[in-house]
Amino acid sequence: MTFGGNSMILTTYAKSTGECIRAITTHRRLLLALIKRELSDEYVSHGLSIGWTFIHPLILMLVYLFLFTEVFVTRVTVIPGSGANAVVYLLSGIIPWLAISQVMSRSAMSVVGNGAIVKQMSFPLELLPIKTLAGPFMFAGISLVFLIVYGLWITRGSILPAYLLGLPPLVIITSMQLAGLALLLGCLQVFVRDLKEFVNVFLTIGLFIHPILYLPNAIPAAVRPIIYLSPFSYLIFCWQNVLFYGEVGWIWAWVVSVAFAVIFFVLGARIFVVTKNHFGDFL
Amino acid sequence: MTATPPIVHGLQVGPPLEVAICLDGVSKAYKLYDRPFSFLKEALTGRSYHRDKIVLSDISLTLQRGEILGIIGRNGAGKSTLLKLIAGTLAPSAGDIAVNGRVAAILELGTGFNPNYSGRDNVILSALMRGMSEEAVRRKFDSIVAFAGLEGVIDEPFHTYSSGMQARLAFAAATAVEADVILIDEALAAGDVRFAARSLRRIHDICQSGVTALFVSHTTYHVMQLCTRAIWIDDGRIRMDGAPIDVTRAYDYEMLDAIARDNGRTSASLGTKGDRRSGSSAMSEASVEAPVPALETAGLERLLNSAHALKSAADESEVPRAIGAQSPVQVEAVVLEPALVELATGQVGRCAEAELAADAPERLRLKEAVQEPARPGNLSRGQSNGKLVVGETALATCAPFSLTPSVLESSDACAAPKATLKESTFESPVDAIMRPTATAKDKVGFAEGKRNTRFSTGQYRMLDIAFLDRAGRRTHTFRFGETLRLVVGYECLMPELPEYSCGLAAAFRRTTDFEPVMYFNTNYPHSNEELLRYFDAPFRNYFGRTGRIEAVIDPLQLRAGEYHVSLGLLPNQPGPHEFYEFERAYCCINVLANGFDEPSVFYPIVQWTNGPLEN
Repeated sequence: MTFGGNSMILTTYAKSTGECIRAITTHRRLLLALIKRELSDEYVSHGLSIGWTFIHPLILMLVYLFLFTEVFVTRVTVIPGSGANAVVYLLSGIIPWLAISQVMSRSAMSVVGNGAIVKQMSFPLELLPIKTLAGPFMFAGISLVFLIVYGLWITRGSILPAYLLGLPPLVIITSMQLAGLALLLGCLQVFVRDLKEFVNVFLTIGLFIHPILYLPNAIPAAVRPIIYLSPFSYLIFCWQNVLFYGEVGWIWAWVVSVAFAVIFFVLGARIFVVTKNHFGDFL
Repeated sequence: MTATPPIVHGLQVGPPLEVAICLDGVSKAYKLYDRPFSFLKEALTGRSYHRDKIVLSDISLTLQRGEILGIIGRNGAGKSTLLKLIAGTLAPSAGDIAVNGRVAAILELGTGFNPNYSGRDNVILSALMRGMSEEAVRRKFDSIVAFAGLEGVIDEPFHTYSSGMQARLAFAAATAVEADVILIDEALAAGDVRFAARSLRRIHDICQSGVTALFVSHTTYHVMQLCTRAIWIDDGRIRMDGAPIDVTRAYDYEMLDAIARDNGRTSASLGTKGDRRSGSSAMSEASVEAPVPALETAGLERLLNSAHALKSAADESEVPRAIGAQSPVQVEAVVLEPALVELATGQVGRCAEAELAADAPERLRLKEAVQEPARPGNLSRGQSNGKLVVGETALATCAPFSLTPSVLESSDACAAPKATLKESTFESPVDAIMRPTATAKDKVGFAEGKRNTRFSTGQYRMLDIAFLDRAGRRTHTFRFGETLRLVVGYECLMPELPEYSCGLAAAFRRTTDFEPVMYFNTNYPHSNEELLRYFDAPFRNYFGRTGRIEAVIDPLQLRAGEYHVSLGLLPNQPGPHEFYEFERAYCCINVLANGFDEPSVFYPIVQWTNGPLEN
């Protein structure tokens, strides 16, 4: 392929990405309203309504806390200098994984599930998959607060600076990865209706093929490469890096995560922008 | 985009010709894949694995700003697809679409409404999703709620609303959107009659506000009233493009033709003069098979009234000819049939069904009918042990414009003219001009070549139509308060004369807005009493291969203005009928003011008194 061809491809991808970002930024008020609706959707007309948004993650975190401290004897060795215990390690992997899996399963249905809107309204369709990030992020945010409070209490406040330093870039990287993933799954599900099942299978085994419940070197060397095949392993490394080890080490994990964030988003935006005009034909 | 030009007295001031929508060779084909993975295979290999289902082919259309385009066509002709293409929710398979300005599409009501949220939340979010700014939503919110008439319950969950309330709110929210181009797809039929009228008024206001609008409707009368231009889409192509009156007329004729073909058995069962008996039994058979949608309330009332008349007749153990039920066959129920009701709009009257057992009064559903005292009459023979069969038409035509869903509030203003109907042989010496001479044909523009502007079943045809003044001169210009004589010569084209005599129906519509103002015909009995002596009227008792029907309206009580006249030949029959032939907007009648221009459509003849206060 010639250089000219390469730059052409780059331009088209940049254009689609720009279009996608513009659709989100120009309609941010609408996105905000949709996110509000998305968050209250699950619990509307429930007695505690929005309260469930908080109760649900807190109860889950308490259950994990109880399981990992009282029921299971975990094999995670506490890294000297961290001061945090195994529970912090487990939760710092589980929380991002929950966000990833929720986004993946919800965004796959984001376009297909809103067929009426897609077919009847002139509407910035990018918002449909993007808004599915709201629920999982809310869930993860509340869990994260729980984890940070717990972590501070365990380590007597020693890991706070690392949180402050590492969290903002990590949240941005994660959002970008998941936004791209949501766009990708949202539009592909329209054309390949089996996609949702593939996603569900992946999510079911995902908890075990990612280094969430164990340390990477705790499994046999023969199967270890599987861990490194999934892009989410690197993201989870980064989260453990910040929340458990309390440092921004492991530069290679960060580099790979940033790369995947860019790839996911650009690819997702491109495919979404190209295919969105044909949604109407397939819904 | 560009601001809407200011409106001055309904005239649009601003850039005179600005293209709002331009479609160039637009086609749309849905790809049908036999297997789900065919799509993937196609995307990967580049080879075609689908069949095309062509919905629209080669549509080219340019709309200027401010044009109101009516789109008519059969179900599945591609009307909605066209709107979706312009709205951008579908991509064309070929061709270009350019839309200048912001588009608001009202393709379906209630999209994006969540039943669990309050009406308020739903209105706000749906308005935002249709592209309104938050500020505009806040500004318009109260008027939306007021329009829907839901001020008291707007904060209650949407699912607690009745379906009518839901539709009203959805319509109000959808039409509040400000845009340069508005696409409306059959969104009118929401709520009760009052709200339907308000909805139509809203659509009317939107159309008048200088926006460009595309309006899909099956109600050709609305298209005539609202649109400045109409297209007829048939089988994915633009079959006709032009003035709404021409396009809707052509479309209606074809629809009626199709209906006549569908109802072939009913038509045939009209029978000939000698065999009225078998006619009615055949009719009942056909009517049982006809699908029967619900009857509107107004129609039901008339139905009850007529059941009244019917029952009183049945009580006499005698059925007058009018009811057409001397059938020896025992028929199960009174079945009211679909009938072509409205001549002028070409709308098809609703089918109606009512069952009543004439032989068993205590089983009669309609209690009033049971209590009706036996009516003395000159009824002499025939046992009506069986149940009766009557058609609906006689009832329906009592108020043809209110039976059909003409929802403009004022559209029921249909005045009964003082018309005297006469019928004589066609060879009557009274009017030599009635002979179908070449000159006469030319004068009223009726010629064989013009026949395609008429709907005809080929059973009867109008030979000549003349509007005459008091002196018997042909004219299309009349003066308020003078005499208008309408003369129609007809000819039977069937080998045998049918059972019923040939009648005439005429409808006058005001040209400015196609509002119906006058409808009269020979087959409508003006009262229950007349229904009993239906065939005694001389104008219903003439049978001939040719004939001449004359209606004298004296005085003409129409205000100065221009009126479209639609004419039709139909059987003088109280039961179901179809028009033999009719022509919509046959010609224009010009009425001049006589001294003062009266400020209304209809000027009644009033007997005034004025005197001292006591008594």
